[in-house]
Amino acid sequence: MQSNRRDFLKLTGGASLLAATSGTVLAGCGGSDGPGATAKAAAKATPPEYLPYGSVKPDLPGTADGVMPGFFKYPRQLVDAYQDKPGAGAGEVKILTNMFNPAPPGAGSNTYWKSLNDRVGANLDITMTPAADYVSKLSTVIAGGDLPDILMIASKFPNRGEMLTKLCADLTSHLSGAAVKDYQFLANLPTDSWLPAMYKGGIHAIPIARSVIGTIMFSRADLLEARSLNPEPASYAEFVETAKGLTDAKANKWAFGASKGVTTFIGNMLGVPNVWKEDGGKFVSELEVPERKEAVARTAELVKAGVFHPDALGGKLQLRDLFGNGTIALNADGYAAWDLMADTYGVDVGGMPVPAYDGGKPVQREGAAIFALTAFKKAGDDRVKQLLRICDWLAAPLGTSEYLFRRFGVEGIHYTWKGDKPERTSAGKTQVSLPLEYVADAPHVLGPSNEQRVRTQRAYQEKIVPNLLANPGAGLYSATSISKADELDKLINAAELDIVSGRKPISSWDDAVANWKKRGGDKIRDEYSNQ
Amino acid sequence: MTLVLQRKTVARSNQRTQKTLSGRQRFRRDRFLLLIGLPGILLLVLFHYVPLLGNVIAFKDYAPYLGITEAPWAGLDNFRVIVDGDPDFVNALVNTLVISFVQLVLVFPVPIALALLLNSLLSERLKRVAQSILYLPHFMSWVIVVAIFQHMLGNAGLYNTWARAHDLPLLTIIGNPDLFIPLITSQVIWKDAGWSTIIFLAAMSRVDTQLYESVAVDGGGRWRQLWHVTLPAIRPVIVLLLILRLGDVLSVGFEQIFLQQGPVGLDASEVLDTYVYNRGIVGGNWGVAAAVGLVKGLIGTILVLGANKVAHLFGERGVYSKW
Amino acid sequence: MVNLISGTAPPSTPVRGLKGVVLIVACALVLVPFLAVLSTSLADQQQITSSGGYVLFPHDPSFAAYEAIFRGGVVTRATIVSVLLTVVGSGLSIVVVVSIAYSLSRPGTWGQRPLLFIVLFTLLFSAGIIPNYLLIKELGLIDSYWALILPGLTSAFQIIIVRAFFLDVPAEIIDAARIDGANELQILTRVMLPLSKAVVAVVGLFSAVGYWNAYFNAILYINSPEKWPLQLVLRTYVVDNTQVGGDLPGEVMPPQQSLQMAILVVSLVPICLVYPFLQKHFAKGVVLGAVKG
Repeated sequence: MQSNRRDFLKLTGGASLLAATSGTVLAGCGGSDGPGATAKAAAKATPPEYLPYGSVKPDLPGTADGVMPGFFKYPRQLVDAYQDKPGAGAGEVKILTNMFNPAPPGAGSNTYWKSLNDRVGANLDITMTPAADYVSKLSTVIAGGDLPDILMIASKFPNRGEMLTKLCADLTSHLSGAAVKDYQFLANLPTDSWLPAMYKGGIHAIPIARSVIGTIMFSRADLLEARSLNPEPASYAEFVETAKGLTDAKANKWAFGASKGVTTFIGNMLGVPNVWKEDGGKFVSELEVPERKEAVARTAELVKAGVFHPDALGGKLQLRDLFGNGTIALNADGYAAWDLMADTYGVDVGGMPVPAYDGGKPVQREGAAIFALTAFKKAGDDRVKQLLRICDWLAAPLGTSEYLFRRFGVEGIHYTWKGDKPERTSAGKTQVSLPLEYVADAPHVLGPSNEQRVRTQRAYQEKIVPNLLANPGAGLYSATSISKADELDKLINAAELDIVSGRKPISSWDDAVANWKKRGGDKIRDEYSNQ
Repeated sequence: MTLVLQRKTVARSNQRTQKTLSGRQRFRRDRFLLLIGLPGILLLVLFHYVPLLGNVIAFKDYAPYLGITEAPWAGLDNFRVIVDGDPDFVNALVNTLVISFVQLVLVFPVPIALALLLNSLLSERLKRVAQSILYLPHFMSWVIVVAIFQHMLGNAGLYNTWARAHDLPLLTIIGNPDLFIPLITSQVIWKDAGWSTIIFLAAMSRVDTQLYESVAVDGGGRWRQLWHVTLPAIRPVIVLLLILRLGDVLSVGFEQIFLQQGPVGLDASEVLDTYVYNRGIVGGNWGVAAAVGLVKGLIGTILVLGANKVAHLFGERGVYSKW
Repeated sequence: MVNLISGTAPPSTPVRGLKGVVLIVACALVLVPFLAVLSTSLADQQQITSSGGYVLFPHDPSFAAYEAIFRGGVVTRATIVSVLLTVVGSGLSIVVVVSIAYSLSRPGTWGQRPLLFIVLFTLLFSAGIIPNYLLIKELGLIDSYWALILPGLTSAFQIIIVRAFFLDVPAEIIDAARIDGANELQILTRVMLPLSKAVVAVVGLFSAVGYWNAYFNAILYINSPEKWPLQLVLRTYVVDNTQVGGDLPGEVMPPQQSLQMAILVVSLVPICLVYPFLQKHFAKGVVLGAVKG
C-alpha cells in the first residue's frame, strides 16, 4: 500500500502534492483517503472574525460560554437587514441540499418559492434530496463533475477535505479575518463553527452552525412529578433510583428506550472525555479510559435491573413517540428536540443535568459545532460574491424581516399573526418547507415560545454550561477519522450492545478497543497528535 | 407427457439442422429473427454493460472527487477485505451460507406448494380472492415488515406485554440469537411466498387440459394428475428459478438483516453484504464495494454454470441449452 | 369458466377441509397485519399510544393523516407522474423483453448462446451508482423521465422467463404458421403471444411493480421536484424516524405512526388496482390442442 501511494505520487508528478501533504498520511497504510489536508496548514489561515449581530435584542441575552439567547415571542418590530436584493444579477443559481420535511411543491406551483426568488433577485434552482439518501446523491453529482453553484457537504462526507480544496471555490480572500465584515450574518456565526470549513490554509466553505449544548437527557417532567421523583438526581445512586421509580413493567412503562444515550450520560457523570482528550500534545481516546468501560458496565447493570424498554437494545423504536406517549420517561436527544417534543405531544418536557457520579465533577459533552458545510462551485470573484451574499441573506437571524419571510413566507398568504405567534396558513404549511436552513442559517436561539419554557431551558443551560467539555479533535482534520468514523463507530456500538445486552462479558470491551485501535483508531490519534 | 415428448423431438431435430448448416447459412436464415431482438440487445448493452466498465474502480483507489480515470491504481488492495481471513469475515461467510441454504430448502418450495394449492381450488372466485390477498405483503417495505413482526412478537410486543401484565411466561423471539434464522426465514416466507406463486401459476395455466382428462380416463386420481401433469409442466420453470437463485447464493436480504442486527448482535446476524457495508461502504470505500461485487458475480457465475450443467445431466433444459 | 380438472371426482372431504384450513390461516396471517395498517392510518395518537403502536379497530376514525399527505397537491401530482411512468415503462418493457426473448427462443439459431450469456451476465454482475449516473449524464438524460424508464427496460430475469415459456410452444405450431406464409414478426404476434398471455401478464406486472416502487433512480437522476415520482415524495414523509413532523412551534402533525401507515396505504392502492386486470390471464388454461387443430 505504501509503495502504491508513492507510485501514485510519482505518476501524478506529485512533488507539489507531497509538499502539501503531512508525513503521517504517507507513513500510514490502508484507507481510501487521498493525500490529506491537515489543520497544521489550516492554522495559517485566519478564521473569519466573530461579529455578533446587534440590531435585534433577545429577551434573555446569550453568554460567551455558550448559553443561547432566548426569545419569549416573535419580535414584531422587524429589522430590514437588506435594502437591496442580495443576488441581483446572479441569474440562475443551482443549489443542492438535503431535506427533512415533506416535499414542497415545485417552483412552478409554489408562490413562496416565487417570492423567494423575487426577494433574492435570482432564480434559485434548488435540488432537494431526502437526508437519508443525500450522501449517495452528493457522491454521484461530484463524480459527474458538474457541480451546482451552491452545495451542502455532509459533515461525514468521505474525503471532504480533498474534495473541497480540489473542486470548490477558495473563499479565503472573501471571508478571512476582517474580510467577513462584508457579510454581516456570516460574521454572526461563532468561530468554532468555522474551523471545520478550513483546510490547507484556506476557507473553503461556510458552516451550518449548531449550538454547543449538544445532547440533552430529556425527562417527562409531568411523569416525574406525578410519582414524586427527583428530576435532578445528585448522584448515580439517585439517578438509578429515579429510573427504577419510573419503571412499571406490568403497565408497560419504562425509564429508557435506548442504551447509547444512557451510557454517554453515565460516562459524563464519570468525567469521560468528549471523544478525545489531549494530554500535552498527545491524544487519548475516550475508549481507552477506564471510566468509559465502567459506564458500559453500569448500563449493562441497569438493563439487567429492567428499567429499559424490552425492545430498547439495538431496536429501532420511535423514541420520540414513546417519550411523547409516556411509555418511556427519559430520552437523550438533540437540544432542538425540546420544543419539538413539547409542542408535538403537548407534554411537559424537562432537561436532566448530569450529576457527579459520586462527588467529583461531572462533564457535559459539547455538541458538534456544525451540522454540515456549504461549499461553492469554482467561479470568478464576482460570482462568488453574489453567492456569498445570497447565503448571508439566508443567515439573517430572528428579528429580521428576512428571517420571518424565510420561516413563514408572506403575511396573509402563508401565515397570519395569531397573538404573538405567526401561524401558517394551509398554503404556508405545504409551500414554506424549502430546506433553506440547510443552505445557510443563523445560529440557533431558545424560543420563541412561552416564557416559562424558555426560562426552564435557560436554567438548564446555565446549569450545564460550566461543565461543558470540548472535543479537542473537533477543530482538527483527520482524513482517517472522516472516512473511517462510521465504520469505527459501528464496531464500538456493536461491542457495546453485546455487553449491555448481556450476550458478552464486560471483559470483551478490551478486545473491541484493541480492534478499534488496529482498524484506524491509532491512525486517527497519530494524525491528531502530529498537528 | 405429450409436452415432454414434443420437447425432445424439437431438440433432436435442431441438433440435426445445426450439423447440416454452416454458420453463415444459419445467420442468413435467422437474420430477421435476430433483427427483432437487436434493439433490445443494444439497450441492454448500453444500460448494463457500459456502466459495468466502471467496475474498474475495484482495482483503483477511487473517490468521487477524483474521477474514474484519474484515480490511482491500487492493485488488489480492495480485495483484501475478502482474503484477509479475518475471523469476522469467516463468521459472516458462514452465516451467509447457512441462511442461504436454509432459505433454499425452506423458502423456495413454499410458493410452489401454494401455487399447487391455489391451482387445485375448484372455485375460480375463491382462487382469485386468495391470490389477491396473498400477494399483498410483497409491497411492504422491509422497514414495515420488521416493525410489524416486532409489534407482534417483540419483547414489548402484543403477546409479551399482555403476558407481563398477567405474570405469564414471556417469549423471547426477537433479540434471541438462536431464533434469528427462523425469524428472518419466516419473514421472507410471509412477505414473498404469495407473490412468487405468480410465475408458477402462469406456468400451470398453460397445461393442456386434455392431459388432465387423459389421466382421468386412465383412472388416475387428483394426485396422479398433480404428479404426472402439473408438476412436469412447471418443472422447467422450477429448475430455471432454482439455478438463478444459486447465482445469488451469497446475497441474503441485505436490508432485512441490516435492520435487525441490533437486537441479536453481529455474531448471529452478520452476513457478507452487511460485513462489506460495515467495513467499507460506510466509509465511502467505493473500490471495496466494486471488488466484492466482482467476486460475488464470479462465484455466482460459476454456480449458475455448474448448476446448469447438472440440470443438463438430469435431462433438464436449464437456463440455456447445449446447442 | 369450467374447472381445469373436469372429468375427475371432487376431492375427498378431509382433503378439502385441510386445504380450506391452510388457505384461511395463510390469508389471515396476511390480512390481520393489513387490517392493522389500515386501521392505524385512521387512528388518533391517543389510541395508538394506549395500544402501543398499532390499532386493530379505530375508535374514532379520522382522515387527518391522509389530509396531511394530500395537502398542497404534491402527492396528487406525483401520483400522476408515477402512473405515467408505470404505464409507459411497463408497456415498453413488455415489448423489449418479449422481442429479445423471442429472438433467442428458436432452438439452434445463429449466435444464440453468446447472446444468451450477454443477457445472463447482467443478472450476475452489476455496476455501482456512479457509473450508472455518468452514463445517464453523458446521454443528456439528467432530469428527464427517460432516465427513469430506459435503464429498467431490459430485465434479464424477465427475458429468461419469457424465453422459457416460448420454448415450450411446440415447434409444429410454428412450422405450420410458416407454411401458411407468416414471417417472424407475424409468428410472434399471432402465434407466440396468444399462447403466452400468462407470462406476458407476469412480465407486465413485474415491470409495473418495479416502476411503481422505484425511488432511488429518481433521487439520483431527477432534480426538479415537479418530476418526482410518488415513492420519492412519500419517502420525504418518513425519511427519518427521528424527525417528527413540522419544525415549528405550535404546528402539530398527525401521529407519525398513522402517517406512515397512511403512506403505505396510498402507495399500495393504485398498484393493487392493476392486479385484477392481469389476473384473468393466469386463470385461463390455454388449450394447445385447440390451436393445433
